[in-house]
Amino acid sequence: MGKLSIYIVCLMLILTASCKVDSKFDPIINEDDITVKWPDYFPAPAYDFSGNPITKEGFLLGKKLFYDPILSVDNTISCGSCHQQFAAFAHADHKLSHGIDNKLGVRNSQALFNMIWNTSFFWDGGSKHIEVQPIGPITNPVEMDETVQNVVYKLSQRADYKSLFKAAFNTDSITSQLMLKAIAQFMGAFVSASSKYDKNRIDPIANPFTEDEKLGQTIFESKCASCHVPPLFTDNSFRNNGLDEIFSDSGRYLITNINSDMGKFKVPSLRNIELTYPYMHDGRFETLPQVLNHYSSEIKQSATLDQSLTNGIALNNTEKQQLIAFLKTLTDREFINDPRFKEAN
Amino acid sequence: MKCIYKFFLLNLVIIAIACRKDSSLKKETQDPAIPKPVENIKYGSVRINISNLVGNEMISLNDSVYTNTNGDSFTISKFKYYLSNFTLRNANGELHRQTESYHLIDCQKGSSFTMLIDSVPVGTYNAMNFILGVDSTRNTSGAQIGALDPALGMFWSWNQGYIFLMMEGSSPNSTAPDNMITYHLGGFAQPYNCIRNVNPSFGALDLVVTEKNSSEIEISADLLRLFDTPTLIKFAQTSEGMGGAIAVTLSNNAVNMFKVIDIEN
Repeated sequence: MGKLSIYIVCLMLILTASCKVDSKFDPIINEDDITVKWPDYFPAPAYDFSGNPITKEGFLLGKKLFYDPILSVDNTISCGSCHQQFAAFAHADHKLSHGIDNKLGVRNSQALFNMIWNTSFFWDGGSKHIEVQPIGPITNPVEMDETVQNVVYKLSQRADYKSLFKAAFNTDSITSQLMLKAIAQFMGAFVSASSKYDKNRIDPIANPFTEDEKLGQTIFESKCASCHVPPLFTDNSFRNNGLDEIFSDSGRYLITNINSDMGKFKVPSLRNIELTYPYMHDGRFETLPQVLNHYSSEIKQSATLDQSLTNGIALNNTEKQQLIAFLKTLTDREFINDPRFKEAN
Repeated sequence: MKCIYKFFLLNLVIIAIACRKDSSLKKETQDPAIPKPVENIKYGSVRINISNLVGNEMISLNDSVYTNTNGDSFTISKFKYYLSNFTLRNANGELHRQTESYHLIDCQKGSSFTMLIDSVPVGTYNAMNFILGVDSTRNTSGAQIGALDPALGMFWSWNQGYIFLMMEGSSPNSTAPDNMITYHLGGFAQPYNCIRNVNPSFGALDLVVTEKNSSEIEISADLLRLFDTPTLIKFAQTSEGMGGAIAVTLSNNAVNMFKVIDIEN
């Protein structure tokens, strides 16, 4: 029996050490620990860092790049300009983000967290990989309007970056590949899994839901969870959620050229939804009640409208309040205050 | 106790599954067609030289005026394309696949016209295959380096993936601003997949690979075929193509640009 127990313990150690699933997910943050951890009820991530092992040096280089306007053509806009930590890395209070020369983009800046579970990026899924995703905003004329080639050139002219790349990747040559891998190490570490929802899920007795939150969760599970699938609160699909009859932005169609994708956009995660206003791909709704009113009574019919929304989602005012109470349990204050992700002073 | 046993069994099952997955993976990567690197096998290399032509003339950017099959005159400011995944086939049907086989041919850069296939087992080969473009795997594998460095400007940033072929220029027949003609072929998802296999025939010629590394394959890439075989392109109607259906039509044409014109052993 003794030998068997040791064997079982060893097996368990092997199994748990090979991945970072943590059944006793400990949300207490140690600033020096950049290990990417997630609770055991999360699925396996799409990006597992196997081709880009995360290191403290790589993570810190990625962080410096994320907050450095050197990535933009006139050195004025950084990733952090439109992805603010206090807003779960969305752009607070901006329907559309403004880039170089205050040019307005056409879409609402997306929140950044749990990106290693994303199977695509951007509202239309135009990027399929976390590493190359930043090329989109870096080169977009209304965002950073820069070229990858010139960013690499600018970085290679800087002594501080030379030594940071050397520390992270042990090389004297700065390449786009290493720059992108460093940013992926930083952004890939954004795991939001310490909300009240998570604490309740792990230990409902120590972290009970209020009556409204409980009722809201029941409504959510029956009326919202088919697209916003827990625990990530998205199914990574593209859907037309009935915002328009005629599309000024064709959405997913721009990527696939397939008619049935007209007017479809990525189903966003609802984690941190309280912080990521305004809502929808064009930021048309300012508040959660507006969003719920849309789903309950303002759905616009069109050929590609999601089948589940043909008749809208029936919700009375009490249910809407309960639903919002539940949605607010998805707010992760520990994530938005995580010192590891804060811009260095 | 029962519980512990159950857990133990579960672990065994997990490990068994993991192991099985592993071995089947190994099988897949070990293609029986590729000769195994055995010590007594000798290797040589093959040089591939590409001549970029318009008809019978070497392409000259910007200044030279050419005429397509439809009779439209045009000039060329950019012509570049990816060739990847070179494979040679010997008389026994055995394949030699070059690893890390990605090449960007750029008419602005003469050094890009020559490529090397190395570690080819010595022997006689009578067929070749390559991809015009970049395989879908590398389109979705994250940040790349070398010929696939996105800093080279052949990477779409909004609908991410490589531009397999870029041809830009102008024609008085084009109705686009500044009479531009702009063709960016790319995309790897159906129904607008622009990845194309190219098998230019060796004809009666044989490629003999020896340890002297002296064999060369001369390939011509005739830009005129991009605009006429099999689909005739009229610049007045089609002055632009960036992915989608036009890019598919042009990719079907682009395959016919390539011919083996000589093999030297």
